[in-house]
Amino acid sequence: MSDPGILVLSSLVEGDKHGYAIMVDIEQFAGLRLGPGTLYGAITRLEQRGWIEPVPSDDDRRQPYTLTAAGRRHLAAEMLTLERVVRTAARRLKQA
Amino acid sequence: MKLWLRCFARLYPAAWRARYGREFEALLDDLRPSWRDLWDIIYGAFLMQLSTPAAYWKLGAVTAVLGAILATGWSFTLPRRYVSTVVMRMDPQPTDSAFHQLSSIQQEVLSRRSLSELIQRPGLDLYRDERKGHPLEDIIQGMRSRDIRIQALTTFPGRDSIAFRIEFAHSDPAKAQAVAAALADKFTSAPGLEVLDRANLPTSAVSPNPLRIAIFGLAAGFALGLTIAFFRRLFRDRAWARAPYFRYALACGALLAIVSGFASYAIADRYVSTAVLRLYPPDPARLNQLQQEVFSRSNLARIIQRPQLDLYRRQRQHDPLEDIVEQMRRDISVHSAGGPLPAFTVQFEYPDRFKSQAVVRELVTSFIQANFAHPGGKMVLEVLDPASLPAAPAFPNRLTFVALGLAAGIPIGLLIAFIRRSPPSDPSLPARMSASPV
Repeated sequence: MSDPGILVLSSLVEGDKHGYAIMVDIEQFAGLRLGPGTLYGAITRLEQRGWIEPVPSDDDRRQPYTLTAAGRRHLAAEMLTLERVVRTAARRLKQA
Repeated sequence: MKLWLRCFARLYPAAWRARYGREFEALLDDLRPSWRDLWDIIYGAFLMQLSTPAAYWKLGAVTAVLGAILATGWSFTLPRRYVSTVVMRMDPQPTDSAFHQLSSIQQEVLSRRSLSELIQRPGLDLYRDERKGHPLEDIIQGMRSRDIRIQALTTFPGRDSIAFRIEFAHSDPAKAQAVAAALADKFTSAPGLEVLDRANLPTSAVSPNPLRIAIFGLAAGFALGLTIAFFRRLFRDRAWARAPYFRYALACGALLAIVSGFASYAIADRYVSTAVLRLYPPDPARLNQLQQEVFSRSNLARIIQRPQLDLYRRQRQHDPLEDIVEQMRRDISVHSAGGPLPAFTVQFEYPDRFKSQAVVRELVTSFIQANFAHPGGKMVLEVLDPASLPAAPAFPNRLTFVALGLAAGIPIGLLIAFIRRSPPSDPSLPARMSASPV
């Protein structure tokens, strides 16, 4: 659960955020602090794939991003896979 | 710290900075920076540079500079080698017997006894550190094949003479000069030989050449960078590249190729000397008889035990001479040279290139003597090419070793991937999973 792309998508599900807000949010819900290079590497990739996009903002320096429909579908698919893994692991742990 | 972060943020590609630069700087303004962030930015910039269309050249340039720096540093750890040279001349008009005598003297000069005396001469005391850890025989062989070089020079215009150069390389320039002079002294026992240029005291080392090594590092680094960029682009976002079969095959193939490449250095080099002879008129039966005589047990045993050659010394300590003769027969090969001439080649393979050449010379002499003494009438046996002095080993072929390692590694990798992907059979697993309440 440390893929920066998934973390950024998970953060943007809640609402539009700029880079620093994403970083703080991820630190709060995942306990993981992404470095600025890692965060913007993920943002660049996600935007290139069309999973997030910039939204207009009053602040000309802090650029907020929003989740696209494709990004939402991708995140949902990833969550399903993760959920299966988590459930299987939990069941096996109980049996062990 | 923020100033540093801003400086290193400039390592990102210009196109990226044009798009994300302002918001990235805003992020840097907002956060409380640490050294980890600095590294994160450098690494992020490196990855971003690799994703640009010019990644090939950028990565090539970075690895080329790194290669040049590493190679230059490495060159300073290498021992320096100085070469002293003596030029000698045989004069006047050399005869066949003089050439033969010169050849015998060369064998004597390069013999174990002669070189052993030079190495242990108190005033020289050569290879002192190596002698502590290696047998003297290995030191002599290294001196003969690596440090001494005897090369024929072109004949002086208008003069019937033959000149040759004796070179000796050593880490101490004074010792290089002394040994070159001592080798020349041994040659002067031949009639008609004179020293043209006395052994010089080398003032600069011939190796290592830091510039040449740096250029080699630059080129190797550049090639490595281009290769990495090529494979990165090839494998990026390709499902087949992430497939375990492909990854295991590639990893095992590369690993075994590297290991077998290095392992080939543990195998002793073998040199092949070749001479070309012609029997005229062609007579296969006569050639067969000559071969039987030349490769007879008595003749080969004589060559093996000749003091100047002292062949297969280690094997002779524990194997009977009969086996050594058989071994030598396997190392000798006679083939038709092909072409319009009824010529044939005589080859001998041995770890010492000088001994390989000397043995082929002995075999050629034996052929000539056997032909001369043959009762079946006189036939011409002509030496078209005298025994060659092999410059490079014929075995092991390191490229073949690497290719074999790669070829062996790929199926092993596929096998490992297959074993790892096959789960242990548990017939009750589907039933247990469907019965699970979760």
